Parts: sequence; structure tokens; C-alpha cells
Amino acid sequence: MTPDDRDDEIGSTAGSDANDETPADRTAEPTETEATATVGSTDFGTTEKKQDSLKRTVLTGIGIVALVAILVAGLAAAVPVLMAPDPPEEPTYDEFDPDRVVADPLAAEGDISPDGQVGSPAGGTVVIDESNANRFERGDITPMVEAFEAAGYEVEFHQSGPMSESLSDADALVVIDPAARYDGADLEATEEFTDRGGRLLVLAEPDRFLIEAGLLGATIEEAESGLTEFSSRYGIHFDTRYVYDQQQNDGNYRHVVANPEGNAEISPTGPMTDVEDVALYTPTEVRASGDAEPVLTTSSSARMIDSDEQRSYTLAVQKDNVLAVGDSRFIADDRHSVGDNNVFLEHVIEFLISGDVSPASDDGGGLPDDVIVGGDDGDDDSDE
Amino acid sequence: MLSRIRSAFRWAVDSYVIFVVIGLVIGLAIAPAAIQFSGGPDGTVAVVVVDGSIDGQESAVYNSAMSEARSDADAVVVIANSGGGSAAASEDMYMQTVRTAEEMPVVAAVDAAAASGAYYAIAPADEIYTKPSSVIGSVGVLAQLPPEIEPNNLIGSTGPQKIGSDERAFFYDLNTLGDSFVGAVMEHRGDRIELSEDEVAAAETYVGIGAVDNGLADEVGDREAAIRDAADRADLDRPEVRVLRPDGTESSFLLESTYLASTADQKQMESIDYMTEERSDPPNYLMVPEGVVADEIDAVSDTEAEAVTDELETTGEDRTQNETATAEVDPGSEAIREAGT
Repeated sequence: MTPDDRDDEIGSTAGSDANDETPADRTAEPTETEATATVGSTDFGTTEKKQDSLKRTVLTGIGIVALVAILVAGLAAAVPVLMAPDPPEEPTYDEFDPDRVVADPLAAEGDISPDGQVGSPAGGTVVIDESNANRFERGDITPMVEAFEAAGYEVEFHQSGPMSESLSDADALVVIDPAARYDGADLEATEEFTDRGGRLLVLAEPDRFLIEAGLLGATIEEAESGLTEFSSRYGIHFDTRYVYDQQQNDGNYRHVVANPEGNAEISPTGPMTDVEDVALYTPTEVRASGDAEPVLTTSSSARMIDSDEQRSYTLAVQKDNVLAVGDSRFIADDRHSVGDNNVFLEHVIEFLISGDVSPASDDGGGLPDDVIVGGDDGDDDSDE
Repeated sequence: MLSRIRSAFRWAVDSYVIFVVIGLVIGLAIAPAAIQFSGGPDGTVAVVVVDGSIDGQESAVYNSAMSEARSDADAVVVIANSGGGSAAASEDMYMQTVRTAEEMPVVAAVDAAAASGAYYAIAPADEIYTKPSSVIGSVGVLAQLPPEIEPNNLIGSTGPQKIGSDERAFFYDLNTLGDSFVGAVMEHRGDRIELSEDEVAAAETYVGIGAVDNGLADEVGDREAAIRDAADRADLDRPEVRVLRPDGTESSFLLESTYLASTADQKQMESIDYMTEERSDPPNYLMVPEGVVADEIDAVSDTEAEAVTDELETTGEDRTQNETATAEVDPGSEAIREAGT
């Protein structure tokens, strides 16, 4: 730009301002600037065009720069997005489908309500043995004791002394998982009792480990039921291994759900058609010789530990006056109402109180005054 | 002089010598790159290590390595040398393996053991290589039974299960986790496993050859075989093998066999106490093989013994040596409860 150009610019600016002046302003004394503008008025039009052109060029250039910059930035942002592979689909885990892996627990509800009519109207006595280190606590079997009492039978615990004395006036005997073996006298007394028609319930357990910690450190004790000789007197045998079922269970493979075998009937009230699922906890198989009747059996998916055999196992049998079950846990206060356990226990109690017991011989300690002679008499009485 | 140079230049141009020379220079300049291009790796096989007992730290390392592999590698080899550990951490690793296997080949190689939670982690692999003496399997879950301390006179709660969990409900939960584990194994290997679902759920461990025989593993082979297999599956002829293992970490082992087989720079044996010492916690589900269960019982029993000793010291009561406290692994002091949980 030359000095003349600058003058022109100044002049054009001044001239432009002059054009904006009001008529009143024009009557005023002209300024030096106006005079100068008047002098340069020859180049005014050309200069203005140049200036406008320059402005447009600059503005257009700025616009182009901005547009190009935006395009480049946009492309730069878009290319990675467009070039990036689609994110892999999120894995689905059908193996964790709750409908498949979450089981519905067996309901735990109901009481043991045996039909007291099957027993003697005068009631009777049920003896529960505690003299052979039997593994139970009285509190745990409260539901069963309560059910006996509801049926009119009193429960006595045999803690010590000759078994024959306790059985002399009893209608039924319950033996729960004895840790100790029965001595000869008790075996004879028990056998004599069942020979007289007394009913016997034997609840066994497989061999298992009891882990305890004491002041001198941990101890692991192998527990066995002392029932081998006792039950063999009746031709009944408990296995020492536990039965498990990975398909039909109460939440764990050792919590086996058994079912009544066919038309199994242990109570005078009829077959166990009202019983379906009986949950037994770490049970063992019960086998019997002779005319024993299976009462509870597992599904065919059951197995026995240390055995490859998958089949239905018998977990309860009845043989004459004896009912043998390969579990003692199911009668406990926190298990007796699981599934149909309470209904099964009703049948068990009805079985126990419906025996026909003859008076004890003199060898057995004589016949007490209050001995109850059989349930049939009671039935007869009720008919009268 | 200048004319001579011009003459020589003209000759070089006319005879094409100058072009040959320029070509030679350019060729020599790009030759190293060409050599690199023709003889260099055509992809990456990432090696991810599961070494030692599985806890949150181990699964975090595994997740990080798997994430890196998914970004940078073409195939993954998982070297498993673990007897499992935390159920949640094992499930986390399983999910990482599933995620990775959906994007690229994953091949596993077992060192001393891939048992329980560690087997869970590698179950989704396309192929599992094992040593003949590796320990494989133990598809199951265990946990200490929850304490039965409700109702009590010390702690209030808003629900009956808040303090003392129902034992049956606990077993149902445990069973659910076990079924999930078995379901995951069958989902990925059901077409190769010759065991029934119940047999898998029996949680037996097998030696490597036995695992190949029943389908829990595929082939007897070392980690090199696994790397070659992974490369083949990713169509790599000259794979770069990159071990994704953080430096300076210490691996801890529940199983002595895995400790001995480990190649970790820093390693140590640890007691199952690490995973079970907080006994009052909610159910702590573990995926560990039978080998450490006895240790767990010892740990539980020791804790009980310490509790009894502490109580004696506190109360000053004179008790006989025969006094015992029932271990929590067999809940309930009553005999009938001991008889058949």
C-alpha cells in the first residue's frame, strides 16, 4: 500500500462520514478532513471496490478454512468409527438359566396327626431306648413324642437297667441309632417283646464321620450304628454305606427323597396313598430276608457310595412287628414336616400303636397291672 | 574439467548406469523392511497364566490379560496350574474365557492341576491339553455350613435368616451353584465328555490321561503343543508368542503339586485358612478339590479349639480335657443332627 492509498483510505472514510451528516451539519464550517476528501474524490469509487473485494476474499477464505477444517476433523473422527469392527455380541449364559438350575424346595409344613382310633382307647406306653448311647436328643424328637401323646400313648425313655422291665408294660419300642451294641439280655428282652406282639421301630444310620474340636486339637471320629446283631435277630440288615440321589433330593445329593413302594401298608388305616415324598437325610439301605415288605424306596437314579450300581434302593422295610428305616434324621423337629414326612410318620405311629401285645411271661418280670393288651381289643371296645 | 563431468554424466545417463545405481540404493534401503515383512510374525498368540489359588486378585490379573489378548492377539493359550479357590472369582474367570473364546481361538494347557475352579476357568477352551499326571476335574462347590445361632440374646436382626441361615435353604443354594458349574462344563464340553451329568457332578478328580479318556480333556501334550494348536486355529504360520503375565506378583498355592510345577518367580504355599478363617461371614462358596478339604476341617477345628481356649482364658473356668466343641462343618451339637445332615 502506498502513502497515496493510505490517504485515499483516510479520505474515503472521511467522505463516508460526511455523507452521513445531516443538512444542518453541512452548513457548518468545513473541516480539513472534508477538504482533503474533496481533493481525493477522483479515486473514491475504485478504492471502495478494491476494499470490498478484499473483504469478501478474506471472509471467503476464512469460511473455506473453517469448512475444510471441519471436514478434515469430521473425517478424522468418522474414519475410526467407520473402520472399527462391530463390537462382539455379549456372551449369553444359558447354563445359568434359573429355570434350569434353581430347584423348588420341598414344602415344610404340616403336623403329625395319627389316627388314635387304631390304638387302644385306654392308651398305652411307647418306650424309646436311651440306654445304648443312642444318638438323639429328646428335644429333637418332640414332634413324634407329641404325636404319640395325641394318640393317647405315653412315652417312656429307657435310660438304664434291664430292658425287660421297661418293655413289660410297653406297646411299642423305638430304637434310634445306638452307638453301643445291645447286650445279650437286652437282645433277649427285645426279641421276647416282639414275639409277644410288641411293635418295634428301628432307625439306623450309615457309618459317618463326626468331626469335633477340643482343647487338644481336632478329632475325627468314625461313627457306626451298633445295630448289626440287634437287627440281624429279625433278619434285617442295614448297610454301612450311605445312599445318595443326584436327581430326586431335598436340595442335596445326600438328602434323598424316597417314595412309598407300591401299595405299601403299615397302618390299619390303609395303604400310604397319601404319602408321596419322604425326605431322608444321608440314609442307608435296609435289606431283609424272608417275607419282609419294602416300605420306602428311592428313584432308580439313586446310588450308594463306593458302589457303581445305580438303581432303586430300599430305605425302609416292614417285617412282621418290626419297621426298619435307614435314617433317624427325618423325625427331627426341623425335618419331620418336609415333604410328606409328617404323613409318613403318622403311618409309622399308627403301626407302632396298633400292635396286639400279649402279657409278659414271668421271666420278663411279670405282668404289671397297667399293661395294655393289644390294639385289637381297643378296636373291639370302640365298636361297643 | 566441467565438460568432462558433463560427458561422464551424459554417458551414465545414456548407458542407464546411473539408473541401475539409483535402483540399487533404493533396493538396499528397503531390503531390511522386506526381510522383516517376509520373515516376521504374522500374528500373536497370547499366553495367559492361571497360576495358584484363585481369588479376586488372580481373577483381576486374568481379566486384564484376557482383555489385552482380545485387543492385540489372534489366539490365546491358557496355562492352568491351579486347584481353584473362590467360587465367585472362578466364575469371573470362566466368563472371561467365554468372552475371549467367542472372539478368537482359546486353547488350554494344564500343568500340575486344573481342578475345580481352575477347570471352570478353562472349560470353555476349544481344546484342553494335559500332562499325564495332571489333576483335572472336581466339578463341584463346597462351603462350611452356616452357623445356627438364631435366636440369641446378643444380636438383633430384621429377619429370621439374617443371622443364621436355614440349613436346607443353604443346601439348595449350594446345589444351585453346583448345577451351574456342571451346566457350564456340559455346555462347552458336553459333546466330548463321555461321563453322564451325574458323574460329572460327582466332582471326582482324574489324572490327565483319565481326563482325556473321559473327555474332560482332549489331548496329552505340553504347552508348546497348545501354542501350535492355537496358532493353527488362528491361521498363523509364524506367530509371535507373548506371555501376558505381570511382573513382581507373587503366586500362592493351596495344592503342593501346583506349587512345585509353577514357574512363577515368586511363589508360596498357603493354608486354606486364607479362604475360610472368617467363619462368621455369609456362606463362602469355594471351588477347591478334595485335597484341601481335610486342611479346611483342620482349619475349622483349630479355630474352634482356639475359641474354646480363649473362652477358658476369659472365664477362668476349670474344664476337663474331654470337653469338646462341635466343629461347624457338622452343625448342631445334638447327635441326631450329626447323624445325617
